[in-house]
Amino acid sequence: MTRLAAQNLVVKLGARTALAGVSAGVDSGAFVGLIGPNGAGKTTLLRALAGLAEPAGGAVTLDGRPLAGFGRRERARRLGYLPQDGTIHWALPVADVVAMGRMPHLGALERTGERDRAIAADAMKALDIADLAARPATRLSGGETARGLLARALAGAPEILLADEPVAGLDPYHQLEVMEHLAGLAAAGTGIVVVLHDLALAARFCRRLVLLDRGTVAAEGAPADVLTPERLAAVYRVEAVRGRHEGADYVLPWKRVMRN
Amino acid sequence: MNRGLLALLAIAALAGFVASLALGPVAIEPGAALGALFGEGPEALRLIVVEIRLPRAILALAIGAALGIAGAALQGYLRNPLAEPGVVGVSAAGALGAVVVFYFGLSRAFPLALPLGGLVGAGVGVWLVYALAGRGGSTATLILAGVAVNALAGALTALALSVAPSPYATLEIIHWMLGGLTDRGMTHVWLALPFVLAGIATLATLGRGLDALTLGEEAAQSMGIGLASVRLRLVLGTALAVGASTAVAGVIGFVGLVVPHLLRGRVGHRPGALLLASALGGATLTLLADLAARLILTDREINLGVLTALIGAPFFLALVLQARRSEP
Repeated sequence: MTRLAAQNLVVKLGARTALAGVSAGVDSGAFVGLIGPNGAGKTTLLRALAGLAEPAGGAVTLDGRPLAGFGRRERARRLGYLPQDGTIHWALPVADVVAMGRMPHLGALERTGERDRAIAADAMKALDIADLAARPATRLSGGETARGLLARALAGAPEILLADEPVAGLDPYHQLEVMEHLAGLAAAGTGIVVVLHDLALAARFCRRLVLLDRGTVAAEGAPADVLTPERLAAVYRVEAVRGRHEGADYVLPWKRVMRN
Repeated sequence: MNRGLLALLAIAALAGFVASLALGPVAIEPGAALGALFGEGPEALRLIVVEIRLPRAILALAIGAALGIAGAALQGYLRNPLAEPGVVGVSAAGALGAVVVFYFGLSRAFPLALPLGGLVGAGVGVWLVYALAGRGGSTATLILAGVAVNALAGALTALALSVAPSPYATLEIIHWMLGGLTDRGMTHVWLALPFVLAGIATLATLGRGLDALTLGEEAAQSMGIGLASVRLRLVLGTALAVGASTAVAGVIGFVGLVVPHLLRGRVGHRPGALLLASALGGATLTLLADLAARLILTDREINLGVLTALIGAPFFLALVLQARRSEP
């Protein structure tokens, strides 16, 4: 059974219909890539799955129950969400920012304890930022900030992680590191949905892709079935170089398709 | 580490409180002053300590705490180190509320109308600032919102002043505009204290929400924070604490700006941890400023609000310059 699912979801942003009847979902252990051109509705779908966007139609369910029926804290314990906005507003030490991920697990008056600190430290180690623990969070580079914020989301140990462009602004080494770590989490049972712009990473790491186009699902399935030349031309308006390397398909957008 | 700082600040506030009982035109030994509180010593001494200095010390302590915690809370919520009840016009709006109540004679018929007027005024002020500059607005938007609210409240207060029916009314309205604790008695303490304490208690619950807001509204929501509840508690707590404070003491600016700024680094920049520390720091600073206000000139007093503005305004200027440099 699909654990977190959008069914026929309609979301309006002001007068604009951002999602016009989208059905998609994620299971435990699944690694789903949410792809599509700018303005296709990827972020809106992710926000709706996280319970942060009000549906105008359809529903989002978690384990068969409407997501809106969950308490705020229980929802926060089960679903991790990494927003696109990567600003850290105060100069807290990075370790404290990451430890904030434990917030949904703390009692009303409970403070961050030893165990929470240890979990946060593990998350930092996994993303190669352990040596930044004491650095003021406002003095990180873009890529370091992105990894710090992802570590925050991971520290919550969510059952399902929803990450909006977790590799944006990262160098190739750290892009691969983040994707490998997420793949490892999926293999260990976490359900993962990532919004990605990099089709090569999407094809290589995600087990399933959901291609959005203007608020609807244009295609869904295994990367090889979704990223066909026709679809890349129709939805992304690009032509790609394709091939196989080390037993995996790769896709490299090469040139724009001009339409008259 | 936090506990040590809080203990230190509490001791400082306590020392300021005792000094406030002991020092003035007539200097009294701290021991004798404390003794007078419990009915010991000559009648004249008891009169000075209990009737004149005690209400003033209590008000300085409570109002300073209110301004300190309200400044820290506004800064945390708006994610801007320049937010402060005085700067963004909440204090001026609270003072206007009190002036309106006073002007129409409501406070004579019903004494509680005074703090309630301040409360409503401050509540409208916070709400306006949030409507104009909320949701992570830039520093420029926040300051502009403050200018607008301050100008509106100031203009309406000045209107009341210019059509004041008597010299006595004029003096009272000027008192609210300048801010001060001169001639405030136990009646004022009982009028303001319950509201101020309720406001401080409400703001003190915001710690976790403000911490989470460090990462923006969406991240905070995804961590289980109810933004509507945080906003409601912020507006209500600020209205109670600042509104009741300005209703009895007028506009005392910049305490909520200076104190959180000085303490932020000591609490590891956590906006939630800054709340209680700023309450204690604000109480200490206000007690000391009130002492200075009565001791600097030998023959008369400086208004407390004037003194805090003299200290705070240059500080504010320096912060604006700093913010300008970091914002391209």
